Amino acid sequence: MGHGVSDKIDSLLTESDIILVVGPGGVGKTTISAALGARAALELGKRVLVVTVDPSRRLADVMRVSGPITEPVRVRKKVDMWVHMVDMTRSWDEIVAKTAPDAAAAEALTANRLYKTLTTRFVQSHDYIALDHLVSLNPDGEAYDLVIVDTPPSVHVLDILDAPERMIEFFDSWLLKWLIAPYRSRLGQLAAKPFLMIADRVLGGAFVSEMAEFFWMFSRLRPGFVRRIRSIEAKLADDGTSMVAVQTPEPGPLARSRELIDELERRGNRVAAVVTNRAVPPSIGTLDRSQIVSISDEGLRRRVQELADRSRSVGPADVLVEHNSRAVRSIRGLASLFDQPEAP
Amino acid sequence: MSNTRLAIVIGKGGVGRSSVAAALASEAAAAGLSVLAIDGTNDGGLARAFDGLKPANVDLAGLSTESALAEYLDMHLAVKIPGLRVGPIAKAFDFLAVAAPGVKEILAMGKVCEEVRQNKADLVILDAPATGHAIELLSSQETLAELIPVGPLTSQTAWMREMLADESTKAIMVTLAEEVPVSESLELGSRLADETSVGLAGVIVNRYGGRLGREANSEAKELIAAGGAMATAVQMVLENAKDQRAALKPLTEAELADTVKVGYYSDTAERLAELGKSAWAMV
Repeated sequence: MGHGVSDKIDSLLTESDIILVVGPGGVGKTTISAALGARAALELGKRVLVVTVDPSRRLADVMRVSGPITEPVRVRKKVDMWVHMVDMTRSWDEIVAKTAPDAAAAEALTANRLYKTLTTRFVQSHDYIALDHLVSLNPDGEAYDLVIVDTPPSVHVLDILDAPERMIEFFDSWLLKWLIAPYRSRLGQLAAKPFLMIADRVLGGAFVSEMAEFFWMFSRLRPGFVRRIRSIEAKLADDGTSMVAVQTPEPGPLARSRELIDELERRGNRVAAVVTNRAVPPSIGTLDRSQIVSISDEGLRRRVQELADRSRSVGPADVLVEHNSRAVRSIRGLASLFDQPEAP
Repeated sequence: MSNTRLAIVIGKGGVGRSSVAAALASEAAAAGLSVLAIDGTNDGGLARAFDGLKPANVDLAGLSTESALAEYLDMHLAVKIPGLRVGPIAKAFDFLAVAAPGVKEILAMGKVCEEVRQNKADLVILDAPATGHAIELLSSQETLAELIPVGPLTSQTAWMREMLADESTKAIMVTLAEEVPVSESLELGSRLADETSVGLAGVIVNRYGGRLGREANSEAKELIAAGGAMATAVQMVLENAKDQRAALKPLTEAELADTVKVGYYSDTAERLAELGKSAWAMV
């Protein structure tokens, strides 16, 4: 296509082994992740895996990943693009199998009554699981040339990067130590720790013993987890890992995106490209007040004004992706989202 | 108005939940009720949604779960635990949150239900946390009962389930006429029905731009014919209107509850008035 802006995306796709797509919720990270994948596969001949957490029904249909899947699905016969949808339960089962000291320990843990509830609802499970796929799906970097990780919506946009370290912190925490304590000693012997007594009163002694046993089993995963996490961290620190930040031209997302980029830079992570999704064509920004005010219908005037405002509110951005509901109905359409017919 | 005591506003993040909660509070206050509006997201969004227009007879509160734990302990423990200060409460709280997921939510929801039970306001409005978290909050008693079938907290919170199942508790869902919000709303509607006992009283489609009036349409035609940047802009508006109508179809077809579309208003007073009228009619 030969436009300056697409070249930036294309060189990013060519040079990277891993791309993390980050940004506030609701900006279209999943669509952009799929579009990056489609472009890399169709235009650059790369073998691509897109790891997505929760694609919309339409996007899932385009990528033909409707229904429960257990491993990466190829989107089209002749296209080197695979998509994997994260399934929390399966992912945890796999992690336990790989980090447990032996098969019996893994079995005991996954068979435990509390396993499902406790693993899916603690320590930022969603964030950790998304990153864990970097080691589970492309361990030696051999299976795919490029892995694109669509990050899940988080409370804070950087939860995803902190997730591996927080998991290790949990294993070493006072919290885990005391969660296990009732398994090792009778509650009465645990010299007046108010919070244990509260737990006993609020949850009941039977439950406290049961959950203590569960956490004791869980704690035995530590050495396996540490190895796994170091592997994830090494991949993230590698030169071939890039970050793409996605935003939309609205005050809220722009502000949060700015915070995110600043924070990433403070930590020494470079954001390779900033994508403004659902961008409004720059020509609309040239409309002046008098033109807009001359629209007699109030509803129409308000909406044109909104578009003009959004057209002008774009912050520092490298790539504009215009809203195009037709394009996102096919893999080829997705790949074309980064074509830039209009010079900014 | 009916006998509604507790109105819970649910929906994805960014669709205008807080605006609807604030609007409903203002409308109820204008009708002479005393209102307690609780921000379940704890990010100050509810206060901001009033934009300085909060009526005097609306009280605002947050949902601090740590203080909910302290209050619960105060109310329910037969024997006071010696030496209980702020530090240990925070620790106890972290401990409970990890040991028994759902405890945090049940303490928070318990506080809301307690406010209703104590009758200190005619109407309690909860601006619920985004999407799935709202379900966790509303199904917290069921979750706990499954995790700990027999236990002190379980029996002491059983009454909450009845209150939430009662017809004096109503949920209002807020959405946008866009693909992802609609698909999340459908899921939210299903989960509300399957996992909680709370009834859905209505759906508000916020910032709806799917229909332009007849005059707008003919003016649009002229502007497009005239060309230039204006034509591009107007074409986009019409495209967007078409997209919104298409996006809304699955929601309309699902027939979840009475659905009302509210247009886009940049003026806060106007927006609160329109949203408020719609929400008030649902409760």
